Amino acid sequence: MNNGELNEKYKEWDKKTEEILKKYPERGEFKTTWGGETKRLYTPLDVGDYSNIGFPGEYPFTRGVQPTMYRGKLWTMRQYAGFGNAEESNKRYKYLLEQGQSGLSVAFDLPTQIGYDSDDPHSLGEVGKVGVAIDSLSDMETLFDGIPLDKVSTSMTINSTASILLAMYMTVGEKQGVSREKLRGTIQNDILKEYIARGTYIYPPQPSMRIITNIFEFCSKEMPLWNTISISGYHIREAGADAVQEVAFTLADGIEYVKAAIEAGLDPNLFGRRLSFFFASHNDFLEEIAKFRAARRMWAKIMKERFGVTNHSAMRLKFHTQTSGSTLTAQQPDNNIVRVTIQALAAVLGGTQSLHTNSRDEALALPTEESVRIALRTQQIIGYESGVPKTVDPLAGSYYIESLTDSIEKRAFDYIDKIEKMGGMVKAIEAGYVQQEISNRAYEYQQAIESEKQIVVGVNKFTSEEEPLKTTLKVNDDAEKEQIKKLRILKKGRDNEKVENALKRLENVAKSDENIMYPIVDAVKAYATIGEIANVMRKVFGEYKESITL
Amino acid sequence: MSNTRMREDEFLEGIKSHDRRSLAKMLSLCEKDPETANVLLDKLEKKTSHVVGITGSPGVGKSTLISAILDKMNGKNVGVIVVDPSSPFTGGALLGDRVRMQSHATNEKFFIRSFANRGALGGLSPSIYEACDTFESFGMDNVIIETVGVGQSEIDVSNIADTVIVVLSPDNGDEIQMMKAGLMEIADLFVINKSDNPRSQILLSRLRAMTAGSKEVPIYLTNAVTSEGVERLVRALDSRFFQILSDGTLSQKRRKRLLNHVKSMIRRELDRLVQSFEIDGISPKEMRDHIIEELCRKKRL
Amino acid sequence: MIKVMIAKPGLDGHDRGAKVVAKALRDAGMEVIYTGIRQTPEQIAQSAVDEDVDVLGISILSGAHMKLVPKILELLKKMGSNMPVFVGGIIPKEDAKRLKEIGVVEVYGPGTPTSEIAEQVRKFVEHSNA
Ligand SMILES: Nc1nc2c(ncn2[C@@H]2O[C@H](COP(=O)(O)OP(=O)(O)O)[C@@H](O)[C@H]2O)c(=O)[nH]1
Ligand SMILES: [Mg+2]
Repeated sequence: MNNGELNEKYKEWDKKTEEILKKYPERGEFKTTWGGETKRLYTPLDVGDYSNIGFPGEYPFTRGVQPTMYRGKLWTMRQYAGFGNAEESNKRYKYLLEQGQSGLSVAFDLPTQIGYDSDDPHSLGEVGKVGVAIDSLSDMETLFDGIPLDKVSTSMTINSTASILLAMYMTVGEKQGVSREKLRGTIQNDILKEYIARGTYIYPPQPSMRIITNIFEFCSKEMPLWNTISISGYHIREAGADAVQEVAFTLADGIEYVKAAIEAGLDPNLFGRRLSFFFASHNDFLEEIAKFRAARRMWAKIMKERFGVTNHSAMRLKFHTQTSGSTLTAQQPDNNIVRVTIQALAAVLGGTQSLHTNSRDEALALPTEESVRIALRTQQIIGYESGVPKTVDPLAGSYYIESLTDSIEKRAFDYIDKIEKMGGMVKAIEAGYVQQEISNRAYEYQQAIESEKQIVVGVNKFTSEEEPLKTTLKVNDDAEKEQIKKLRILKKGRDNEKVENALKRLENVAKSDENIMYPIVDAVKAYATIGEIANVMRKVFGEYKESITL
Repeated sequence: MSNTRMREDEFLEGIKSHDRRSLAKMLSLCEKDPETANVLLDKLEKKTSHVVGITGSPGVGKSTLISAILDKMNGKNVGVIVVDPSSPFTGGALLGDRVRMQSHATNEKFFIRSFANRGALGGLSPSIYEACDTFESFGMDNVIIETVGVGQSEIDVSNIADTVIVVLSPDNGDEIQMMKAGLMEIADLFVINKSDNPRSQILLSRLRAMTAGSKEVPIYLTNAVTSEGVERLVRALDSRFFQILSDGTLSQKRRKRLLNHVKSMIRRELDRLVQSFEIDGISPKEMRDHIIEELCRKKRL
Repeated sequence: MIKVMIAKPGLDGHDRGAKVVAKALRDAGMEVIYTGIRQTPEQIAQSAVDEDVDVLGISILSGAHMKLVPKILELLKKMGSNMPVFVGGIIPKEDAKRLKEIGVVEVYGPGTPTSEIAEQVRKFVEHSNA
């Protein structure tokens, strides 16, 4: 049947259906998460010529970044959690290494992420809370004590203080006799999404971008195996963005970083291979699958067409996925296991490289061990029982999936164009545009729940009286006191003149356009604290105040 | 004692003895019951602060600039009034300027207060005169007022401020347009903020060209985020105050402010009367006559 | 006219809930001051007293609520204020109970309809004016 005939047939069918609707109306309106129309039926008419979708492992990578995908190796099941202080974490790492794991992930507490020492008034109640507390090189030495840094790959979730923690990691390595160029690992280092959604920024966007550029340059010279950025849409989505916004804003951030790298003199053909992405997976199953496919295709086009990249591996969008914490409900928490399953399945069908599945009780408190295990088992069941990894990109060719993939791509590119017209992502953030778009969507979603246009099982429908889950939110207050004590001892014991000098030099470099990483490394070696180093830069760069655009 | 009530004499004592909480309550009274506030204000000693109005399009950096100015005001007592728009539909408002000044929230010399414009045109609050008088009676050295910054008709600030700063930034393309709409005339000082943006130099030369020939208005370049240029601005404000104090400009301004305060009081009473009138079967003229009669009958409001 | 402050103590940047509530209260016709993230207890208490708000809402997701909320209440008391304070966030039941014992008027968990919060805010104000 050619398209003309099909169109005739379709119209006929549609007409008949309209008749039936008079008697049996549909349940309501059906829409995408961004408010677009979802049609009753998708046909070849909606997808154009999809013989040009291409092949996995080939440009534009719609079907996956490798030719064999999960037939070769399943995605990496990466579950991470934060632990109180450096000693505890060190023990945990040693245990994991004994178990044969070679990748470590480090989560830091919020003061460390925002450049406050543990004794800063801002740190009250937060020390060691969501990760380890690092005040100085001394804590970092404890954290990696006895762990051979040439044998492991370390992933650090750190952004506005990434320069300082990277300098510390490198110094610990050197003290172990491992030279810089041998170190392997990743820093998140995605500052733009901090302004947009996650909130651990310190300085205004422009100087922050300069620091990132300095890190890129430093690593390309000194730490060639290090992955210098992980561009994250996860937090953007969790702050309330829809699927299109998640893709658009994340890739727009990506564009900004590639521009910065090129400005720093790096070759995008090489730099592009060190980039990785991080997305969320939500409940709208088919939409999510299409989202991952669209993102992959868009990034390949951006790298090729906009940045003139010719190396194919520099066009591949490789990503980590985490299931959505914000869709989990405090009510009837066991239902969350099902939500996580749907989301994890979408990530796998979307071709993720690694996956974190959330625990059912996260909406209530820190997860119990049992919940963490169920979350991991969910991935294993998908991997080993569901059969979906048997073939590459199994949903390709579905009229709906292909049409959604196209329309997400189109809409996301519209956003990217708009941001470009505003002068790029930094300008769009400064103007509060991106934050406002997300906040509007979050508010609309909340309104939809309250008006019951959006059903959330167990929250606004199918509710039941229930025994609340036993929660464990254990707070160890001693951790804070101990950390502060250690900090005091450190400050007394170190060569304070050396610290002063290093900080003075850092200030001068910050004011110039030299690379700031070198004086940061020196300050770290002199045992200057995170707070002291960050304060010097606060003085020079100023502090960012969020745009309140509700 | 309940949270929202404080007796009048307590207010007066509190303000005289520099009690922060009384100031907070008095400012609420200015909004809730401006008539009573005016009665109380009459019983307080008049003092004079340098009242600085700051206006300019949204996003040019007014709030950030105020925060930077406060940084350089060590030792002085400063009251800050920030005004944001109310929704014409729900009456609700989101008061967001304070966010940029929160690092000063616990400084005992400074007092920041947010107001919604509650439908008032001109970018200020309907109780702006009472609020400003309250800060002056409290003994502030400076009162800084940030206008809403949305309309092009925000020239009311010149009715109350001794010094008006018009802030521009190279980010906003429509600046020159704004200038034509009357802001030019009310500026005592121009600030080109966001001097870190290279285009600020272009804006500077354009502004120079535009102001050439008219009264001399100094232009200051600032970076409100890093405070660059702010110290100079603060010093300029101080010397301007001495200048207008000695050359008689200040007393002229104060006379104008007094008249405007009175007008705003009369307008408020008029509004109240108009609102309370039954309009069934009455012509506009009859209604006007009734209202005037009512006003005269009530000689003392 | 009801004047509310929505404050976010602690260092986490999860302000989605705080912003949604601020917006909902504004749309319910209230004047809302949102402090922004990362506020210390001192900043919050002093701002709430200076602004003379009718109600203070605190949003916390970092898990530091048992340290921060009591501190804010204590500071408010010291400043002579007894304004109603409510808390929103991920608060375990036993902590919520404890917070109410020390004077918090209500604790809202995730998923509380904003219309309910707006309605209750009105009640808190009536109650404290009575
Ligand atoms: N680069 C730069 N940004 C600034 C400067 N001053 C303010 N901003 C930013 O401009 C935006 C709007 O500032 P705000 O003070 O709220 O403007 P207002 O609406 O005029 O009060 C914020 O994102 C500020 O951080 C400056 O001097 N340089
Ligand atoms: Mg402002």
